[in-house]
Amino acid sequence: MADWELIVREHGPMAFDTAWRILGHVQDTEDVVQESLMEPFRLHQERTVANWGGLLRHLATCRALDRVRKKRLTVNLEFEPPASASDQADSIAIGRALADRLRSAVAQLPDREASLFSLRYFGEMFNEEIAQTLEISVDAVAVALHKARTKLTKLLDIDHYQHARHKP
Amino acid sequence: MNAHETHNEDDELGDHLSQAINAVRVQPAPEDVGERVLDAAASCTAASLPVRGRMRWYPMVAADLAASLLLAVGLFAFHAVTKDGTIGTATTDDATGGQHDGLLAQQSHEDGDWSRSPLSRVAMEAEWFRSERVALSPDGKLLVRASGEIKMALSDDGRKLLVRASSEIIDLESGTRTPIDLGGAVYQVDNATYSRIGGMQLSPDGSRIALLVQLPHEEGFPSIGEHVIQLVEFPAGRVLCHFPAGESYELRVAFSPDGKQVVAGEPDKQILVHQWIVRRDATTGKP
Repeated sequence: MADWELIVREHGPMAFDTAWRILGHVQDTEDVVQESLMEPFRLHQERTVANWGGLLRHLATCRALDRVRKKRLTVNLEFEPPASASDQADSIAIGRALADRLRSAVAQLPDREASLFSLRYFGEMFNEEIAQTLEISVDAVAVALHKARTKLTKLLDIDHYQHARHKP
Repeated sequence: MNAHETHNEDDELGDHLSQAINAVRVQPAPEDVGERVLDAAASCTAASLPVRGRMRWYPMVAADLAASLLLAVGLFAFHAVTKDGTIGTATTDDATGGQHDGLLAQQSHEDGDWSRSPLSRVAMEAEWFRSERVALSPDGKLLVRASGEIKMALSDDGRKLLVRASSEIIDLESGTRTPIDLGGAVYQVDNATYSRIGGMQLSPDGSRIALLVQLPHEEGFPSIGEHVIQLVEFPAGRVLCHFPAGESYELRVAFSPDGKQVVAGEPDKQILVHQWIVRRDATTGKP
């Protein structure tokens, strides 16, 4: 049986970071990471897993996206147009707004594309690693990522255009 | 990933998307929170029961305490506990939350070890597994399963909804299943498209079920929404009363230890019910 503590210590931080990047909210991230560790805890007692890092990030991604979508109804994801970028505080605010816009846009993607995009860019996994974890082909990963990037680019460009119109 | 692949993907990102990804990556994760969660998870043992929501890894050290709670929890398994530590479990076998058959089993906890005795394989009807809730009768012989499948009918003007919750009683020894009608109620809603069972608990004497029903959200998402509590006579299935329970995705329902009151509240890190949102008489539903 695999050493559970070792698994958590070695791969947990990246799963946490992945969930954090998707959610951007401390309490939600805490909940999601805990939820996502339940199944691996059971699995480590029953069978061998080839890539614990990939599995933990995959489960954290799924739960985090699930959580983001549920919160879309209660959280206004429209960003507040920043007044100016003249100092550091404004730069931070602009960065946060941009990050929130991306999180919101990712949540609008189909499940598969949202999940793969999050693993690739938030979980920082290689395409081959994603393919191995999800037991799909590398080509399938590449195609889904291409679709995700195209849709996100459009969504963010539309957002950017609307944002610009709100500027005084 | 090779350099060629990276180059091609970077070309596809575009300015806005590339900036947005960087904006997400540079936001620092709260290290103290991560450490706390991972420390708790790393120390989890077979005698710990993972609990969904904002309760943390819940040590099964007090069977009496566990018996007073409905552990309507778990991503892949739903448990209910009796005073002697017996656990009834309804599980699904699909990690993605699909619609599959499940195993009904009885578990016991003795001398720090868990043992599990499968009783029967139960074909679960197609439903969203997270809406599944189970509760055990006090003697541990009957398991009540409330599914998220709620039959709904709209009035002609589309503003009233008849909600009928389906459920069943499962004999853990024989595996026989008896469907029960949890009854229905008419709610005033607009654009009703979704509903689910948010929680369930048997009263300590086993005579009533408190059923937390989430009313449909107008956009069809099982998110924050208005809940009502139905008090249902058990095992007859007759609805005694229903009343508003509040709005929260984390809402839980519980009977007081003496069974005289039913409460709904939000779970906290330390205790099951943190804030009493409603507290009603467990028979009449009156405040």
